[in-house]
Amino acid sequence: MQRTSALMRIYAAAIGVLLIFPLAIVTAVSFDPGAYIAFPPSGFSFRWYVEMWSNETIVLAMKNSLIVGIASSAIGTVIAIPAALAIARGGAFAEKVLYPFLLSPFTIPWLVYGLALLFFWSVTGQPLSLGTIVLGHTVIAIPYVLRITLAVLRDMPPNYVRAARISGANPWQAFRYVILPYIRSGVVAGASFAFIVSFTNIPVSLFLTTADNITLPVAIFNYMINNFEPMVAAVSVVQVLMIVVILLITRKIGAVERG
Amino acid sequence: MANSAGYDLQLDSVSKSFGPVRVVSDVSFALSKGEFLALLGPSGCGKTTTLSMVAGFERPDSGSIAIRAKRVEALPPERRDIGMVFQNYALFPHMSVAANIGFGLKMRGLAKAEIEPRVRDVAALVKVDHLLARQPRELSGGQQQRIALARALIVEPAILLLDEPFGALDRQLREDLQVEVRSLLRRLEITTVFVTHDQDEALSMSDRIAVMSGGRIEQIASPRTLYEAPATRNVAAFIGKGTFLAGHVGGGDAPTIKTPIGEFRLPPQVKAAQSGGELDCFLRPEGIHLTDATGAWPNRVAGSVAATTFLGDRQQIVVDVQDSVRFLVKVEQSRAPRVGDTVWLGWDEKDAAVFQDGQRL
Repeated sequence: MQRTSALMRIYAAAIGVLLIFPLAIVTAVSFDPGAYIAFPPSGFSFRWYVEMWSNETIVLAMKNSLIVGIASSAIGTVIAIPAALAIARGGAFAEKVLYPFLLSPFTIPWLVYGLALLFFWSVTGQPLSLGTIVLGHTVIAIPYVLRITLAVLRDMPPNYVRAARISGANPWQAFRYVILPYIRSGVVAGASFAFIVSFTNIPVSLFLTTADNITLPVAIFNYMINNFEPMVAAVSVVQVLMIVVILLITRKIGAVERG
Repeated sequence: MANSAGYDLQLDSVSKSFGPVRVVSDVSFALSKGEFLALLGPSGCGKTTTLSMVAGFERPDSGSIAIRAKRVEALPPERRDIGMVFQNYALFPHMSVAANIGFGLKMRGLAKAEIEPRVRDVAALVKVDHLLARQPRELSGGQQQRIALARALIVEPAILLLDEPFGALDRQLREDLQVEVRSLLRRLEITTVFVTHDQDEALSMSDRIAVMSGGRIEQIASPRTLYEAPATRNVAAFIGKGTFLAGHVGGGDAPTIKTPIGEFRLPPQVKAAQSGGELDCFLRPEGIHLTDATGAWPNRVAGSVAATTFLGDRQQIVVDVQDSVRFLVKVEQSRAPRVGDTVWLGWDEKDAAVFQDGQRL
């Protein structure tokens, strides 16, 4: 077994505290039976974990966020994989035009992007819906999947595809049986990033949500403006748990086959 | 080469440029069934690009490639009926050994029940049948090489391409595998193109060798012909070892070469018409003999021994003459001089090859 140096232990402890501390506070507050957020909590109860399920807005927002997160990361992945293949192949257009274009959501402030989308949909006369949010989140999902997939793809020896082709695989078979298994863990990692970004996104969603298509972060945000109840903490804890579940599932899908 | 019938592989005037660089220039050759051809040359000579064009990874700018009399320039790799073993083998890391070997049959839509017995047969042929359930990364280089060969052979290809397949193996294993692979391919009568930069490998395995340089084939011939009768200066320099004497054609009845270390006779085919021109005279170590100041050899020169190398039954000695020419000589152990000794070397002009502008006279 490797010995961990004292410095490493202190470093790990500092990072751990930094990451867990805010979450610990929120979790502690979520069990407060009182009507106002207070720290330290005034007691312990599951009151807000029960009450949140009778709040129609919160329940609707959870459902919407799950739909938007899964749909946008899935569509973004379907768009990002062929783009990554084209860019890895190294054509001038793919590398100099397509790649920067697809990465541009990284560089535009999301608040500005959300506002621009609002203008866009109002000019086109398209009413805001879950679909318009999915489209907005898909655009910001693409660069996450693209970057990670491309990194794995560029790491792949070009002879794998050549070996597949010369052995009799057509381009689709080479993708299906050789490229896709090779990049799978990268694709899944990128897609789960994209899901989390969508699931926690406020700036883009803020401009695109109405009472019907409200997402969970926006619902929490709205709720906090008007209320100071510990329920918002309970909802946050549930949100974190949902992300943990998603990460565990994707880790299973993305694991490289052994044996 | 108008008649392409009967050849398994025929290249006719194939050329390829990458941007302004012409990497393959006017390459032609034809292989009969079962023939083993090596493309030999230093890196950048065009041998790998030639192989890539045969495989279908690159398209020639001009010229034609035919496999069993069928033109293939426009066909994708999967429709050319080729098996290939890659440098570092390129075994699929996420598949078992059995899945790697059976890959080509699976892509051709064969059922599992048909694939399994054929995988076992070809695995037995290359002696990896005990490894079928393993993963490639658990295996040694030699084992991976055998599996790569099995993957290429299972589809019973018209031609087999080998791209530096022994380069990553250590010496003993490499030599054993060379012998084994060559005898297996001879038994199966598989027409093979083999790319290598290792002349020993090419000389020991090939029926014919195409020596490439600057995108062109300098000479295509049997290993023995290349060694004994190199057509160009590059071939002489690349195949085996030897000594070059640079100089000018001397006057007189019998042709001679005037060099900084003396004037020597040349073989009779060097005519007076080449008088005054620059020449290279090339001598193999076997053609140079130890002698003395009164020796009977028509050409003699004295020099000092700079180095000796043990070759088993014989000793290779390096002799510096007037600090300007290095002679390579092979001598019997019992007659081997020591470093620093002064020795006389002699040779018969009939054993010399003469090149003008790089071409054999």
